[in-house]
Amino acid sequence: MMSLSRFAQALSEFCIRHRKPVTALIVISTIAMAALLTRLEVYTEFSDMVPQGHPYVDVHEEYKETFGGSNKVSIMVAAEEGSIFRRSILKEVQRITQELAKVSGVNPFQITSLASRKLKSVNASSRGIESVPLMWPDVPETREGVETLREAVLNNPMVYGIYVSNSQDSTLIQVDFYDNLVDYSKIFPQIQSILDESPVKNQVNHHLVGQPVLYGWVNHYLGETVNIALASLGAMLLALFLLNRTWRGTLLPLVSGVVSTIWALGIGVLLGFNFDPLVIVVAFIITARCFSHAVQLITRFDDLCDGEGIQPKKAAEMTMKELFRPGLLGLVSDAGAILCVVLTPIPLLQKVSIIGAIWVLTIGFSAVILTPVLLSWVKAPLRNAHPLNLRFLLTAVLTLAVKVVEGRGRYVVLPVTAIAVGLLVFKATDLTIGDATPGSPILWEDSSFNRDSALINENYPGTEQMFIVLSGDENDVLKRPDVLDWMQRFQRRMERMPQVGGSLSLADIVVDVRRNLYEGNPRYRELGNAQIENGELISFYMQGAAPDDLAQYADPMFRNGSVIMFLQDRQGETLRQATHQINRFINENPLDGVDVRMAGGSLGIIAAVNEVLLRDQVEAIALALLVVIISCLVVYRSSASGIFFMVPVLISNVVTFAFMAWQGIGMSISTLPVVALGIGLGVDYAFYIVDSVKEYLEKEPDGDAVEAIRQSLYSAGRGVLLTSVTLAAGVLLWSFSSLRFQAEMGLLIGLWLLVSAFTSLFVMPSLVRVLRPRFIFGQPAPSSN
Amino acid sequence: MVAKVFGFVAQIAPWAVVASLGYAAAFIHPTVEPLPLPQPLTEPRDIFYDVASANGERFWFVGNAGTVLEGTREPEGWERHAMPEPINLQGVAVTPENTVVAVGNEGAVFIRRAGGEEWTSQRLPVSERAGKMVDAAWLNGALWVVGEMGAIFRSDDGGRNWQSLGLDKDIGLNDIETDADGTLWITAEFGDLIHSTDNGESWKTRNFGSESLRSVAFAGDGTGVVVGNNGAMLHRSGADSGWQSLESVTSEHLYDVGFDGERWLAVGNSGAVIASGNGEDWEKLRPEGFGSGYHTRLNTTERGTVIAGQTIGLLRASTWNTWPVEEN
Repeated sequence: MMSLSRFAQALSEFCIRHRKPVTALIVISTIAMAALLTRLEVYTEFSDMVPQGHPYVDVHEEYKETFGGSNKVSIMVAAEEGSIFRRSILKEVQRITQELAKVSGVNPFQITSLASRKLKSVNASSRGIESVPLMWPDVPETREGVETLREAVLNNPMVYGIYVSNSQDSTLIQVDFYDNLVDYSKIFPQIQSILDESPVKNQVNHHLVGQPVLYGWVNHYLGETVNIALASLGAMLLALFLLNRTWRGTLLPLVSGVVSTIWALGIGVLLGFNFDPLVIVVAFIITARCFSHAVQLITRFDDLCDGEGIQPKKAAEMTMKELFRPGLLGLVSDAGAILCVVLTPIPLLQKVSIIGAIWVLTIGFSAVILTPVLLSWVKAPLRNAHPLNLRFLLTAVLTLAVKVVEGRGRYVVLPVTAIAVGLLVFKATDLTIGDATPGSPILWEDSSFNRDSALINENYPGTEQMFIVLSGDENDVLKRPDVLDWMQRFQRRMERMPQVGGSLSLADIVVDVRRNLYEGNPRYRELGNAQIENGELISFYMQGAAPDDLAQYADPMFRNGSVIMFLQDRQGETLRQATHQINRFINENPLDGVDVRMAGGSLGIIAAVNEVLLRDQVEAIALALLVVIISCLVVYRSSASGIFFMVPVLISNVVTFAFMAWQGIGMSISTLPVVALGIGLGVDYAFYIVDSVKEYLEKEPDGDAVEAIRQSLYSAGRGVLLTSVTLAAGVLLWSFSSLRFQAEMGLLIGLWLLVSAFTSLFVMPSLVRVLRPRFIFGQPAPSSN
Repeated sequence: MVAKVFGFVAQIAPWAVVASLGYAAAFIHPTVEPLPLPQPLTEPRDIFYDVASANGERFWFVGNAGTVLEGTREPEGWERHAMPEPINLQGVAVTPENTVVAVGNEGAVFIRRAGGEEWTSQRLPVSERAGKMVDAAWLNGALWVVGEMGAIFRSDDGGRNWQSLGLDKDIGLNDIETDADGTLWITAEFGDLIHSTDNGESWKTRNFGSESLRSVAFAGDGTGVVVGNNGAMLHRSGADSGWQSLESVTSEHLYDVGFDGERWLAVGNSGAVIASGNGEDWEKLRPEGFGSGYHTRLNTTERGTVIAGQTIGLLRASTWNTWPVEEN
């Protein structure tokens, strides 16, 4: 079997000898792929974020059309001053309600407001029973009519406090969308347009929350995100230009990045994938990997040309050959790490995983092959593109690294690192699974969305919903007094949780109908004594009602019902508490003939995501490390080399998790691919440094270890430092993003790059020198004695 | 030897790390430190139906799901009592000896003796179909309970034994009160006002229309006021005068009326609270912060009127204070 070195040599000789056809092939392929990009779709697909096979998701999928989906939008219409019970404001509520029915993907049966048919008052007196919509189809014409409406609202606990604030100065309009028809790029602008057309802007203000609105904001900032990405790219190129002082050092990484991106996105189009704006960070990291590999190649090429006086064509061939092994190792590890995420049962992560792995592998062509091929055309002698020489900055850091490893510092670095990592592990244990802050972590705390969210939570039970399902073994089971009583007791218990603002169930309707049946006497606000009585109460409510009016609480056969809880935030801890308390109540209060299942709604989905995240995160790290070990085993024929390269990975992970805990960044569906890719970042630099030492010792079997490390640091180390500083400069620009998630991820990647570089330059060389691993230094010579 | 051990450990270590991470992925789950969720003093779903006091300082509120709340005018000293059964409690009375009697659905009676801590329960012999006991009162030296199906019970021994004095007809009795002469008055469904001059041995009924009458109260001079559904009001100017209908200032159901020595007050649905100096001329009050829900009972004291309903608290003049006052 051909060894990796021989394969690298053959490949590099072939590519440089046939550089024109090779280049032409890559260019043609790139043009073909670029043509596909016109079909690239940039949008967020809700179903992509739902973990398949999770019991909560099963419940959600089964009942989302009736008990409430996860794409609910809440619009608060607040009076500028005074109460909302004015004709002009009520007309505005009616206008918005009617216009919402035209929004893309809307479920017209799930539009609830004062002006919808769903909110009713049940009035029973000696004159009979009336179940009439509060303000449908018309807004009251007279002041007396408005006053009657106000009184009807105040007397209706299903409306007052839930759809009209206790202070009566605002009202809530809720609308749900079919999950399979949701198009976030359309919903938000369409709703915003409805609100912008308000004829009473001076009398009301509108506040808007919900999943489609959140992702609408993400889409809204897409242009800005692209601009920041371009600016970031520009900053990196500028840094490269300043530090490298050559056009090839600036443009070739760009060419590699562009080729790689076009190939990856083109393949994504062929696979039918959409591009989620939130994962642009992932794209950025992979491009950074591409830059890193290209910079390593260019740095080595410059060393060979400038330092050893080798002709460019030969130097390009040698560069390709010498760096093939660490490059391949890095790419396989990167691709393997991101591919491990495919096991997470969340389609978005699976797509990111597949396209990410493909993207990384394209670097094999765009950087590892194309860069040396293009370098072979460089004219000797090498010239600088500008007179400003900033290399002394890099040299200073590298000299420090060399001094550490040469002197006694190498014995200090390891324990200091161990202690620091130990302390950071403690901090990392505070990492929150799920969102760590109220509001959406995707947007800044003072964003319009989060401010609206806080305002609605302040005035209403909660913007976020979760439902549980009571599934009976026969029809009409929901009318049983013990079942309705269970709902009431459950609601009481859950409402003790400070984060639970309120809850609704069929029991709330039954007790209210009974009260109305007894002349509105609150002493009769209680359940019927028998199943048949509760059935009659429900049928009173349904008189004159549409068949779907109770759909939110029960199916038509009253076999399956819901209890809907309103929560004030979606933080990981809140959801874990809620699901724990729900489970506890269910276990302590078994219901004969009824299976209580949790949990649907937007929060049910997020709770499911949170439950799988930790497992998948650890699983992804474990598998990524396994990939590293296997790669090492194949390349170095030593599993011990695996533990060696785990060091930078573990350090990077610990530092990152500690940073996330410190900054209150929760581990979420958005952060997982970033963290998975970070493993690749952690190990790449180490591969280049260590392999360079090994390469030197292979060339000079009797060479000095210190000399090997020194040349490695000044050569591969320069590439590491150059890449990390350049990329860190680029990602800093992300902190200006209006999307908090992008800004934080930018910061995270920047930190990761710097930690990885530090580990590779200061920790790994000391480890090499102190431990003298056999896979680098070979078998110790037998003692002469 | 040491080198060999190190070498062996180095060979095994990476697999051990991956294996332990695999184990962690399979078996370690996010944990939660469960909130204890202790019983709070009040819950969002609490609704109180009655309030009583023996001395005007310590009050007993009763409500749904077997809730009894004991409290004072101060933030301190409030306590929530849970009855042995979560039955909706409708009425409460306190004897001069501080025995507390709470009554509710299904003829349930819960008694806490003066100085005791335990609640004892008993069931009055009521209709299975409609056994809600709506009001309890300490009147003429006895405990009285009235409710659905014309149920009237009297206990002369502090609730140990009960004598049924019921009307034996399908009518809901809402409130029992006595005037200065010791005549017992009961307000009832369908406009019936019932009274007894022989301490409940016999009852006479007079009808005042179709609206249910909810409550009756008297001043020391014999002036009386009755309130009911749709703002219905009756007034008598003295013990010898007849009851006259008043034109009401509200169309809301009024559930209780009382006289605090200076003014009459009535409360009802939708935050309705009305007041009168003479029991004839009424006006609406709009105390700031007063709940817009329903209020079913009031308890007049020298230092204001304590009101029970969707919210509980103290009304003094036009100032409303919601109870329990939160401690700072």
